[in-house]
Formats: sequence, structure tokens, C-alpha cells
Amino acid sequence: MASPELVKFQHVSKVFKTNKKKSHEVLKDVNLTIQKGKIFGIIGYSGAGKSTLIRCINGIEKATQGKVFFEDKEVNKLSKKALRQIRGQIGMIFQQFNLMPARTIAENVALPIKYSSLGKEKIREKVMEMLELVGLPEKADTYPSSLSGGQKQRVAIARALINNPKILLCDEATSALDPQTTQSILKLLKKLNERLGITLVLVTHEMQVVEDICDEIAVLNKGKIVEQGDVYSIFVNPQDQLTKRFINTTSKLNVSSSLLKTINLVRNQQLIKITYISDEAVVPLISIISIKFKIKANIIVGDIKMLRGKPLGGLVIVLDGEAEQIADTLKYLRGQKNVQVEVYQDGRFL
Amino acid sequence: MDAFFSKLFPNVASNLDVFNAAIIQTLQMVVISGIISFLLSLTFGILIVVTKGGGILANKIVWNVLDKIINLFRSIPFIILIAALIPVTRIISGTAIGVKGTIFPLIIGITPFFTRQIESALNETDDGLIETGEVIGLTPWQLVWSVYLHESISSISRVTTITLVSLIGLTAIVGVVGGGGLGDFAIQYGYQQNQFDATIACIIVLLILVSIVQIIGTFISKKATH
Repeated sequence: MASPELVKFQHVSKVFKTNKKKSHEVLKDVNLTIQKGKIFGIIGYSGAGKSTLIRCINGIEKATQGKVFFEDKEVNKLSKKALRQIRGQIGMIFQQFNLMPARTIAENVALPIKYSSLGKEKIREKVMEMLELVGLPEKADTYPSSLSGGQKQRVAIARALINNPKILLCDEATSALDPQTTQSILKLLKKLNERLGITLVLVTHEMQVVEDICDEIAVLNKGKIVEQGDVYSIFVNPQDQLTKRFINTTSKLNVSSSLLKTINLVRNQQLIKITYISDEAVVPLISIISIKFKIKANIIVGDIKMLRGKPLGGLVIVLDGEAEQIADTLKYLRGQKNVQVEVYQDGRFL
Repeated sequence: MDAFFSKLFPNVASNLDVFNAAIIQTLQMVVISGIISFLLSLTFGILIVVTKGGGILANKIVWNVLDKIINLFRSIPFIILIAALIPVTRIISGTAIGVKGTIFPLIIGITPFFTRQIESALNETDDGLIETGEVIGLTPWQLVWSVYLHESISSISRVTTITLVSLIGLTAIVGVVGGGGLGDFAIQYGYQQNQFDATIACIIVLLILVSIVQIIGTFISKKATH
């Protein structure tokens, strides 16, 4: 049986020489494995080395040290010819779409198989099949300049898929698109992943993209992978500061200090934050504590969403009751396996 | 009509055969040296773009040699170049005078400039498109043909227009040293014999020639832009 591993990085480093004396280490000892059929997200700020990392997979960039494997082939060691052949199995799309302006949509999509042994009719047939897949068959004979950004990216996807690749590399594929178009492109990518079983690698600086479709994620900071794992566990329990910062961009739970100042806590009131940390059955916590401990629970902020069918997020609430009641409530909440409780003290949640 | 022409251009009318021959000679010079230098410049332009540092076939030696040769020839004023080339021209064309003798110096005179023009046209190709070509597995020469050249048709036709206009100018200069053509006619009749109408007639024909080149160039350039 074939190994489920499609791409593997082993201690990969990449150094760019800016001139004779100076050099810049873009990737530092990167180790990662991308499984077949998964949607793998690589997130980081610009300049973190994401684009270089993804380009090591199809050999556009060569690792200075370490090994990059595509299936059982070591990409760095392939001849130029073998590398071109392997690129047929690795599709790629870009932030700026990179459609050829002087070619029609159909010619753009056909470009990867233009020099193959396929006849013109067969090529046209495949092109139309791809354009159907991305929902743009009627645009076949128009030029890219007449398309919107989202349509251009669809054409780029069709072009990337015409060789039936095993993997599709997406380099900031949605970063130049508006939120609505981003959603439709992500939906299309998800559909391709489900229907064709194609592995996706998404490089992005938008946590929303990761949250929306990725199965696994690696966080890249200054060329180093600071954290990686499955999306849910990273989201509920981020370890690295950068990961936390990225996750905060998609969460509304971060109560700003200015909002907290407006809440005048009086005696016998306690501000707490409850966050879901596992996918065990969700119980109606607020109802339970108000019945069980006869305490008032006032929700200040709530942000709970489902991530891959599991609860994510939490609540910021004010508990109102006698000190003993509050203590009992906190004890009860802390005993719950699927939530994490933080108590507001001295201006922050502890 | 003939009477009108004779009145306006008396000295051209009396030497009409020579004038017509001069037009033909100019056209021959432009067309022959234009086609040959276009092919050469396209070749050198492509070579210099693909061999530059970071290019798809980066090669320091080839790039440096080409770059230096182009700079060398571009720095020699054309009229001096013609004189300097005479021995070589004799070997290659068998003669250094007449249309036959002008083709070689014209090619040497215009190709370096033309190459730079083609180079800048090809360099306008978006790096992202080149990278895309590599990503989809095109060989370097498929990349040159299907991306660099195909995407630069409009720019190439624009710079070719500019170059052809310059080339028409050079054909007039080469006429002075025994090349024939309209330059020769204007100098012999207009300048040396002080027949001003001959000069004006040459200007009008050259103006028409330049306009035709410009119109065709603009048309192709527009047609290739989508």
C-alpha cells in the first residue's frame, strides 16, 4: 500500500545570499508532513518564509539544507527533466492569478498540456471539462482582462488541475479577493478536495481561511515552524504567542480593556471567561449554574462557533452572588472537562 | 497633374528616374536590413534576457559577452562605423558601395539598438508569468516561445516600429558614402546643387514611409493587446 504521506520536509533550511557578505536565512530547520487528501494550511506574516516553503515542494526553490520529498522522490535531487515531469502532478495557484493576458481563457487552461501528445480536440475537451468544474465554461473564448478577480482565480484553478495533479499549492490564493469572493473560492477548493481527493496546501496570512477549510496547520514565524497540528486542537489550545495572536484575529472573545472599564463591578460580582477546550458534549452551563448555585450569570460577550463540528469559542460573563456561591460555581466550572475558566483579576484574565 | 508637379518640383521632375530609383533603393535597404536585423535582434534579445542573473538559463559568460559587444557597437557613431566596417563589408558583400554595400553596415549599426529594444520589451513580461510557466513544467524554450514571445507581441511590434524609423534615418546617412537612396539624392541634388525642391521631395517621401511604418506598427500592437 502506498504511504499516505505525500510531502515531507526533513530539516529543511533555505538561505538567500543577498550579496557576498550578507545572507538571509528564510527557512530554518523546517520539518513537516502533509498527508494525502488533507487540506494543509501554512500561516504566517509576510516575510515569514511561507512562499519559499511552498515553492520547495515543486522545486521552484531549492532547499539549501535538508530534504524535501514528494511521495518517494527527493525533489532537490531530481534532474531538470524529472522535475518538469513531477510538476505535472503539482498544481499551483497564485495571489495575482498569473493568467497570460494575450491568451484566451481556453488557451490559458490548455497551456500545461499544449506540448503534450494530446490532439487539439482532446485538449479542447479537457479544457471544457475543467472550465465546467470551476463553473466558467461560457468564458472559454474570452480574454482574462474581461474577468473579475474571482473568475481569474477560477481559471487559474482550472489550469492547475488540467494535468490531474495529486496536490494543489495555493500561494495566498485568496489574499487579493474580497471576503465574499474568498468564500466562494474556498468553497470551490473544498469541493475539489472532497470530490477529487486532491491534497491542498494553502499558504495564507488570514486565520479565517485556515478556520474555514484547513484540516491541519503549521504556524511559521521568521522561517521557523513554531507550532503545528490539527486545526481544532491548535485553535482551542494554542501554545505559541504568534498562534494566539492569529487566533485572536478570528475571535470576538477578546474583551478590550475599554469595554471592561465600562463594566462597573460591584461587590459580589466576578467577571470570568469560559473557553471551550475540547469537543465533549456541550452542556447548558449557564442554566445549570444559575439553577444549581442560584447565581445570576450575565453574558457580556459570547462567541461560540462550530469548527469541524466541534464547539469553539466561549463566553465572558459576570457572576453575581454571594462570595460562597461564586466560589462554588467556579469550582463546578473548573471541574468541567470541556471548558477552561479564567477569572478576571487586576486588569486581566488569569 | 504632371504640370503641377513639374512646377512645384522642377528639379525632381527632370530627374524623375533617378528619384524613383532612390525611393526603390531606400525601400530595399530598409526591408532587407530590417528583416535580417529583426531576426538577429530577436535572437540576441532572447539570449540576453534568458542568460541574465536569475534568468531561466542564467549564464554569466554569455550575458557578459553579449552585453559588452552591444555596448561597444552602440557607442560608435554610425557614420564612423560605416567607414570602420569597409574592409569587412567588402569581404562579406563583395563591395562597399551601392545598396549591396550598405546592408552589412546597416545591420551592424541597427542591431545593437534593436537588441536593447527587444530586451526591454521582453523584460516587461511579468515575473509571475515566467514562474507560472516553470510551475506548469514548460521547458526553457517552450517558455521563451509560449510566454516571453507570445506575451510580448504587442511590445515587440512597438519597439520594432521605433527601430524601423531609426533605420530609415540610417539609410539616409549611409547614402552619403555612396549607398544611394533618398539620402544620397537629397545630398547630391538638394545640397550640392542647391536644388531645394529635391530636398523637400525626399522629406515628403520619407515622411510617408515613416507614417506607413508607424500605422502598421500601431495596428499590430493594438491587435495583440487584449
